[in-house]
Amino acid sequence: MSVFVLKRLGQAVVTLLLMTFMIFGLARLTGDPTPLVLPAEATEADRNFFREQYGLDRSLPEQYVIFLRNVTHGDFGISFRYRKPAMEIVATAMRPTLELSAMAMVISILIGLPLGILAAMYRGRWIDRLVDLYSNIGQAVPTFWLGLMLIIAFAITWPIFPSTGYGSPMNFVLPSVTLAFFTSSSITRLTRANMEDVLRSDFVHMERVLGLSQFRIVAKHALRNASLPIVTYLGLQFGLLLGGAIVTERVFAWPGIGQTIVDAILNRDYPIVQAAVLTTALFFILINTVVDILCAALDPRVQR
Amino acid sequence: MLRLGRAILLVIINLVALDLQATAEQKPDLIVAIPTDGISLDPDKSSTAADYPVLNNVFEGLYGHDENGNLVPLLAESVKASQDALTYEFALRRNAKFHNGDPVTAADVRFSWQRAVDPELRNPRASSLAANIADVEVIDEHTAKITLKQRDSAFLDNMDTLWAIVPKKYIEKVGNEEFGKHPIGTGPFAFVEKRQNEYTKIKAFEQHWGRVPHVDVVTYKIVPDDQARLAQVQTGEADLITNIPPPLAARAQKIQGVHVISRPAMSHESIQFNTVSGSRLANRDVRIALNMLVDRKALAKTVMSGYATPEILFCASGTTGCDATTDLHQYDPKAAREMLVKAGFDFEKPLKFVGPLGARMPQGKEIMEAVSYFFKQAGVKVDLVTMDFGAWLAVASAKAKDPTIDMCMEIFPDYSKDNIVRLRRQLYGTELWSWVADKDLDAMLSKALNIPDSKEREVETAAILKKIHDDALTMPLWSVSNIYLARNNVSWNPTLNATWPVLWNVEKKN
Repeated sequence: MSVFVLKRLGQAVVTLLLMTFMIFGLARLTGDPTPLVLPAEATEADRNFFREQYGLDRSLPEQYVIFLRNVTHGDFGISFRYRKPAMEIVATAMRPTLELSAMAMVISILIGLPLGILAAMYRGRWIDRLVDLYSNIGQAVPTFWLGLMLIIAFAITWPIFPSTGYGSPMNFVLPSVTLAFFTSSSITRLTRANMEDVLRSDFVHMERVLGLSQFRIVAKHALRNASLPIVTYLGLQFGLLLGGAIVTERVFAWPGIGQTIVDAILNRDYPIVQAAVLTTALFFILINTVVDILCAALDPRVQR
Repeated sequence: MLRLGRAILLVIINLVALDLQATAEQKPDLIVAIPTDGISLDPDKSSTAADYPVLNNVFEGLYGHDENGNLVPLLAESVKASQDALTYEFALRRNAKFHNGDPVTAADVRFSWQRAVDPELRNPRASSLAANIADVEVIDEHTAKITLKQRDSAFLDNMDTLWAIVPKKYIEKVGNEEFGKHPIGTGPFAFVEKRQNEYTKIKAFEQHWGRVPHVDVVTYKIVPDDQARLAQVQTGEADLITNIPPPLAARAQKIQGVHVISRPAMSHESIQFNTVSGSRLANRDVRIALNMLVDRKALAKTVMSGYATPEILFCASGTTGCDATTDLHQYDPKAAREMLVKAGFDFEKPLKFVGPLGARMPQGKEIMEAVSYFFKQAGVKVDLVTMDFGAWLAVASAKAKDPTIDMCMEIFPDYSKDNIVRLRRQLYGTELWSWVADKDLDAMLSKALNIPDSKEREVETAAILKKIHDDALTMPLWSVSNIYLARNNVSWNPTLNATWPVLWNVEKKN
């Protein structure tokens, strides 16, 4: 097990290193940040000074080496726009995204798992069909549209929740439901498919013959056996939620990392783009490493 | 016993009266939803227009503008300018104070200049005004004499946007960094708190010299999405929203409980013709013909939903000399086609037309597509290239203009009614933003900038605008409007200003 863990951690480090190269290159492909950072009144001398100040007048390999060296010390540079450490901006923005993603994940699991189990247990019946409809709609509906519809319904027509913003518990409801709708529908599908396979297996049949209750079979035995792919998927989904809530954050004016990355890209603020993307990547890699280790613990065959 | 009862009753009545009075005097708070958060709270470190909502309300200059865009004294009571327009003696208001109660003195004016040009702060806007100041002399506590290096006809006009008066004692005590987190100015509002990308709060400054606000706390909420901002004002979560695109404003007129406020922004949208490095539009007749191909009035009515004022001249409504009534290039596609044929225009080769996408140029893509459509009706092919705002900025302000580009979409604000500075920045041959190569125009621009008398300068500006029009050096489209949506219990006459109006005169009924 410890060898497996070390191997996975080693892979994570290599992946991160490759990510630094990709992010550095892609950020610079977006173009020169100078006209965006400086006002229209800036002279050519002002622009040249700016480029010198941030090392943008050096060659790309030189810039990359300096960037990599600083990153190993946790220094992602100073934001061109904010003139503050990029990591400070990213850290501030990460918290609302983590909160939203966690809430969306909890809602998705609370909806997706039970629905998937029910659909598998009552395969072919009306419950199964209803759950199937739910998961199809959930996959098909665009997040942006759903968010706006929820605002129109529950903030304007029936003013129950605030339309946008961050800060109070009520602010969490509409955006997390928006995010959870898609995620829960995919969890439902995956759970249903895996549970179906397990419920048809011989050992479950044996347990029925032995007179175990349906609840005990499902909760104690079948779910555990079906959980491996579900746990893997949940890990992937959480990582995606972290980086992919951009549209939802924009619609609901959520001050999260998605909005920060988009603003940074549009304004060519390389330090923030690099810090934000690498941080999100790090989270993603960490989550998946933990998921892999968890899977290995659940099923030791995975270690081979 | 009776006396005691009477005494108690009197006390109760007085307490109730006091409470009623307090309620009557209590000003309402105001919530304003804006799309982008500002970056800097320090006027000498600001480089983006997103900072103006806070900076323009918290800080002031010696001179500024009233709601109609007229130049008025702010922190100064009056000014005496020398005949050569190189020296200005300002008499400061005796009752002007900073938000911490310190009086505004000539020493603060001198300090503000020194700080604005401090190489350590690297003020991005210093070159536009402060860097042209040779010295600020403290004559006495309430008199400051400013000497310029070169004449600047827009010196007074640009003060409230480009040079704020900051508190010397406070900054020397706390340092630049702390000042940037807890700024103190002289504006109608004092800074309270800020949470990046969430909100910024400013509060009415009751001891302001003349513009005491009618509201108490103003909260700027950051809501990037246009539809989400609209939802905010519909639900009452915001009292006022800004940066409304014209089609949304047209729809919003039908929404109950809100009303549209629209004010000319002194911002001018146009299409620049490349005569600097390009050759296809070097012919005057070709440029005139292209101008005649576009029906600006129809475009303003449709694409801009009526929230734009078509301009004959290359200027924004309300600015100097922008009052022509005769249009030499009226919409006439048939005559335009004939002119192009006569001029030997190559109809086979498309004109490359670039412009930005995104909210910073409202309806930019739609305008470009509409103009291309007009051109195509006359057989003029267009290679339309829309790009993201950053890429467009790099192209539009490149020192060496791309010779393959024939036309470039632009929007440019005038900070004041005297638009000579903007004209120079956009049209003078060696300026970064200029696509025009015309030595006669360069000479006229240089001459106008050096005229100290404003009336004489107006005459020269009018001549410049006429020349630009007659030679069709550009294709002016229109002046844009700033569009706001407010709840019906909010009334406001925003300042005629391209940057950001001050909120002191917003009225809100509870």
